[in-house]
Amino acid sequence: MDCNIVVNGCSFGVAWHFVCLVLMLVAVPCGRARGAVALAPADTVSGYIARLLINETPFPGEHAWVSEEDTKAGMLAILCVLDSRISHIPAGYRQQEIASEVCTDVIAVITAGGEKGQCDGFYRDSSGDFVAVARVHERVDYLLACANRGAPGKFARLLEHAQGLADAYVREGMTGVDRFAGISRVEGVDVTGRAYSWMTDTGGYNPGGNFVRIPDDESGSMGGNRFFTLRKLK
Amino acid sequence: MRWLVGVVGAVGIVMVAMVLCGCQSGSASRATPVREEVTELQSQEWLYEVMRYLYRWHIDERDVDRVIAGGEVVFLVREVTPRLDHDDRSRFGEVVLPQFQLAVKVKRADYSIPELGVEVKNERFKVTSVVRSSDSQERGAGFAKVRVAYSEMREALFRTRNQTLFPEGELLERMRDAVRTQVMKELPNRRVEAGPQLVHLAPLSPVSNDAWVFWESGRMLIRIASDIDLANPAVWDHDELAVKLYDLDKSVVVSLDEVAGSNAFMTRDQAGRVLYNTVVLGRRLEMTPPNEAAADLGAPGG
Repeated sequence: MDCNIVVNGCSFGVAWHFVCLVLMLVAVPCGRARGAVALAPADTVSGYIARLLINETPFPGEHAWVSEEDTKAGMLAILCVLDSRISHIPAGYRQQEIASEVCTDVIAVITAGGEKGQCDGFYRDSSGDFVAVARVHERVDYLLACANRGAPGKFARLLEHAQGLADAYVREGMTGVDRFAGISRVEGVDVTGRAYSWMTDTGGYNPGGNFVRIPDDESGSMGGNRFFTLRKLK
Repeated sequence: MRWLVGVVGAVGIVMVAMVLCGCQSGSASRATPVREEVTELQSQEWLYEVMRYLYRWHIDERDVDRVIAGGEVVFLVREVTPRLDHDDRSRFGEVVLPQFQLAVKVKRADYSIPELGVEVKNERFKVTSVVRSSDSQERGAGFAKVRVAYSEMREALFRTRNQTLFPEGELLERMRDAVRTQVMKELPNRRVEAGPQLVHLAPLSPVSNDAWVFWESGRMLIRIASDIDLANPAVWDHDELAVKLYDLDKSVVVSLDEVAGSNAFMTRDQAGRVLYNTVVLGRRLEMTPPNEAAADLGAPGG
């Protein structure tokens, strides 16, 4: 359109004003689009991590929803578990005992054990690509649609928080504070500190083995999940 | 006659004074203002509903054995105050049954979700989680203790053990639609024949916002859980947020120790309880594909 204006010999001023007008008209929706919440693509490491954090924590209206702060804390705690399974294997344990497989990176931790593995619905397909089952994507898409409806609110902030945590982790490694790092004893049992597993906090789920439930007074329940540390081995 | 009126009036004044004195000279907890929520948490009617929920979904024979000798069921009850969003008026509570080593978390939601245009408001406290914990025996500080005679509780639970509450009318239709959507979505993955699918719906509880469904031919359990009352149409408008599926062939183990650290499994005990509640106590429904949905009929449970 601006080419036509030039070719037709319109004065620069008129053409410029016209272009400005068009830009202004376009800029309103474009500006909203730029401000809209979006996640990194699911086939990128940060996009994949973000989807796991989102999939594992409650949003407003969902069962186990408490607050924005609680869900954000739950996301961070899950990321700490993933990192601990790579970087903080306690004395006496082998990584396979905690993460089910030898894992050298966070994608390996998430996809360990396949579709019904360590993180339900997150796995590597037959081509070796890291993928998630359809219901994960359906829920994330739904949450994104909610977040981008009207003025940005809790949905938007929670999604952005998940993506922010994932981006920072990929860029700099674990920067957040692991609130469970200093735990040394739970209900009379010596433990290693840090959380190494999480499960939906309902119905008495327990991951078994040497995992020890972190109680409420140690903030062991966050973001709809119960976190578990490990029994300290002699 | 005036004399009689005077005596009656005096007696009335004395009786009113006695009632007022009685109110003020009760226990210390009565002397201080009691929050409405705490009152609800301590009410026998509500605690009986919680117990019925636990009886159906969590308690076993071995749990009851521990209570028989004591002759009473003890509930430790308190309101808890997690930090909430500034616009959230929800209330939270905890009910601990030390004899059963069970800790029950409850919530009475009261907030809005502008993104969904939904007001989330529960009329009563609802169970949000039940955890078995040995430390529940040691609790006490900050809890009010409510005691119920075991024989009375046993009688009530026995009498109502097969009593069921099922969705009716609009709620049933919405639930049926949500389940049908999930079933149809999963059909291609389950290698089951297209056409009518048989599902079993577990009874609902007035103190819980979750519902379990067993999809028989698909061999899957479907859990619908929400912060929102299931009777609220908003649950079903946004059921993407409420539904979770469990594959009975892939997701069930005897002990989670077999899959230590994984969050993808349930125990056979848990699955068995869901199957009892859906198949034995539940209501059987036939789900037809959408184009045949008009002919979709529900049948009484078997």
